[in-house]
Amino acid sequence: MLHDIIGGLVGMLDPLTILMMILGTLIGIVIGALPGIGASLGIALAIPFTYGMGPLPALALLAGIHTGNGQGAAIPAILFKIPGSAGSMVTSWDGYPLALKGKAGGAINLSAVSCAVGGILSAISLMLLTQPLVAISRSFGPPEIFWVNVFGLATVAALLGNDIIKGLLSACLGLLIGSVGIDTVTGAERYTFDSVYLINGLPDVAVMVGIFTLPPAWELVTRDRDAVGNAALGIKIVSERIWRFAQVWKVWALSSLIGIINGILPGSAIASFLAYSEAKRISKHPEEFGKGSIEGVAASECVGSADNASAMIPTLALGIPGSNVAVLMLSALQIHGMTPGPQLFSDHGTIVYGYAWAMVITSLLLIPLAGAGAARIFAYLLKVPIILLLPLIIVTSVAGTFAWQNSMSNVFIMLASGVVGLAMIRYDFPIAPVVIGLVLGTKAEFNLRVSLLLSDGDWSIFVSRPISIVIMLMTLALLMYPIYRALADRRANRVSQAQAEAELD
Amino acid sequence: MQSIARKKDVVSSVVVFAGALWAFLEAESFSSGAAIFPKGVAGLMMILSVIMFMRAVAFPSFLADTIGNMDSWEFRRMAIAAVGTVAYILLIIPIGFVEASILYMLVNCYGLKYRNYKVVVITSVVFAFLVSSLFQRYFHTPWPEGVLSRLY
Repeated sequence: MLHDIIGGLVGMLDPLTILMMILGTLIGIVIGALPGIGASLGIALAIPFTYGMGPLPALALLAGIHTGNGQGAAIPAILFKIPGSAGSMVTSWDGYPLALKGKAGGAINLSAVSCAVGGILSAISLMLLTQPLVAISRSFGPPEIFWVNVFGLATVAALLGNDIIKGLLSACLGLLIGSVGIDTVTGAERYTFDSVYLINGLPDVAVMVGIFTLPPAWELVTRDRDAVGNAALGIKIVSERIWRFAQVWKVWALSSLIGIINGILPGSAIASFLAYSEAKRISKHPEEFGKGSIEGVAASECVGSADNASAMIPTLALGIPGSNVAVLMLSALQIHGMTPGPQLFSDHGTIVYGYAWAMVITSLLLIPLAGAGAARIFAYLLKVPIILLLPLIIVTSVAGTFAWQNSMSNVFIMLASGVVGLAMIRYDFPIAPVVIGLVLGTKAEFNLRVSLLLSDGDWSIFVSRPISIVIMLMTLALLMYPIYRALADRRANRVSQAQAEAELD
Repeated sequence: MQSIARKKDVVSSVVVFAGALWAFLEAESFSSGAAIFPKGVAGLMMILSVIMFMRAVAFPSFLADTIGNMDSWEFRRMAIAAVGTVAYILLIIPIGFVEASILYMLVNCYGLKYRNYKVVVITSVVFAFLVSSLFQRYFHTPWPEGVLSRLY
């Protein structure tokens, strides 16, 4: 392990890899600073560009985009009260009042350092906590791996949307898309319509780019009305230090812990709020929260970046992604020939730890690249008309998808995926489960069929081994939880309604 | 909002059921080993879509929050953006990547009523050439030949 950790650091110090980290961080900050363009879109756009690179520079670029995005989102939140992402909304509660007091530069500096602290601690957790999880998974056979794949699908389906049924349907769609092409065991063609192009299946990259970039790009133009007016505000950005270490270290520690746990156990969208309320609870000046509190900004920014690397712990060890970005990173790993699980650590340990180092280094890069000095430049980005961004995103998506295999057919697949993705979003279906179904589907099917071969077609192999039973029960619990919540909410609503009616009477 | 969610769920459950039924029937023609997985997935989709339909019809209070319908301003703009993208992609082979990209950026901005023509023209030309040459130089991408290079 130590050998791989050192090897990973050495690999990351290659000039091209360093360049990719700087470039990725800058791109991430720019993307984050533009409201409506999230890390998922940026990473999905960048993945085709990484195809010609080695795995380390590729992961360095993607890690940079991921890290930079969090801090980038804080810039409009502080300057204009326009959150670049859902998490940065909490930042705006105290960042914007600080900006109004003439401390915009100080608030941006503080958010950059807080992001860096959260990101570094999260990357350290990735280095330290992944191996124990991998050690457990070494004892898994095909039936257990099948259940882990199902658990991964259920996690994404249940937790990355607000409707479990729609999440499962999205995952199933991904599984069906993944079964297009020649069946690797029997050689039978499935859903190919006798087309030579479909024999090798639908290209993951084209589907992923289409589904993650086109719908948000098309939806961007509908936001134009709101963005222009607000961004017209003029706020001076003076680089200064407005915080003391003694004032924020406890908040950083607590928020990082919350963020790391949130990353490992995905699905909680309340981490920012939780960290904020905890910071308020332990603060000596809780009355300043919402009016320009230093601890408030530190908490929300630190927690936002503390789940970046930790979300990769279950992703890398077991192939269970817990966020949209983790889904995309999983796809990126597969594209570069790496499959998550124990094999990943024995075959590509240096690359895995190199990725963790990339998260550390890109977090450190935030301090010079995303501090108040740089924010003056990035603030101008908000003056870029959103209408101009749409064609830039579309042209880049088309170019990246075409260049991936020099194929126009991939571009058509990307377009079709984009249209399907837009329809899904408009009909409240989450889109991340489609991609995870596509990525995990082949593995799940392979392990299902190997298990059946091992048991001579006896399906009881899936429910007769202790670890399989445990994972199966966890999956069932995960799927049942939203139903339990819905019933509990309904009961609570009825009670409050009855109380209200009784009070009226 | 609940009526919108209900309508959406009814429509999508019917569409999903039809698609899953087709996938299930299509999988009947695969050899037995190759059919297990797609048939299982399609079967699960049919069951889930029936549950979704029943929930929308009989238990609408269980429906999750939905995004509202777009107003005509939003719909028109999104339609322009989406149709423009389709037209752009269809034009790449006939007229070339750079030419189609420049044309798309110009027409898109015009269609969406952005009237700073100087910015649009400079951005379109510079960006199209930048992306094209970047890919040609570093990824050796053979872009579809453009009308301009065919003429000259």
